[in-house]
Amino acid sequence: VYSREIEGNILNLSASGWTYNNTFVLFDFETESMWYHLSNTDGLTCISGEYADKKLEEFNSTQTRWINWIVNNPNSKYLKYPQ
Amino acid sequence: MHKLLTALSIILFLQSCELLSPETNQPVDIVRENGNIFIVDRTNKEWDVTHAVNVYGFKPESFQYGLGPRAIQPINNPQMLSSGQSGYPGSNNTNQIIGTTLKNDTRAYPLNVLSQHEMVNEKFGTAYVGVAY
Repeated sequence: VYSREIEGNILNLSASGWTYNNTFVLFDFETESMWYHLSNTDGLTCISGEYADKKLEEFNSTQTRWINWIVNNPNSKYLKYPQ
Repeated sequence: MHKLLTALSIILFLQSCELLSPETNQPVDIVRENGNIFIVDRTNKEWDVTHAVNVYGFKPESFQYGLGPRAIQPINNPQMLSSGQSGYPGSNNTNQIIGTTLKNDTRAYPLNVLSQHEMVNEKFGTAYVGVAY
């Protein structure tokens, strides 16, 4: 989970269609900058484009099963799908 | 390592959908122009990777797939289900999820949906975040 706010602007992120080292390269629709989770670096780093070298902060998240998650997070919401 | 394995599992999933198959993984078309380096995707879109190459040591030929920016659609500002609503999973449901708490709001995203869309553009209170898989 990453912030998508930078310098007062809000980005809409998506998969660029590229992978690199078996990791998705992301981009933002606003500037088409390319964002990548560099190994040994927290957050997303802009590797190319208007925000080159800037970072999007990473927030804590947990990958687990719902059966375990709901025990510790009884008020959790769940993504509606399809929307 | 964990992230890499996660990405690998998505890629394997997409391969199983034939979106990313050996057939779609052609050598990258690279254009070098006035000291700039572009990679060209399957939609003929050119991506300037000069900075990635010069500063971060990316190899242009190591980018893969190049499906184009519309091939994998994100989910934007999704509706969430609360307990008691139709579709909300029972407490014994074993779906794999990514869960997070931000601004006192706790939400879970099933991996089987994230793996199809890669990104959810979300807002928790005043915080704009992307949930990526």
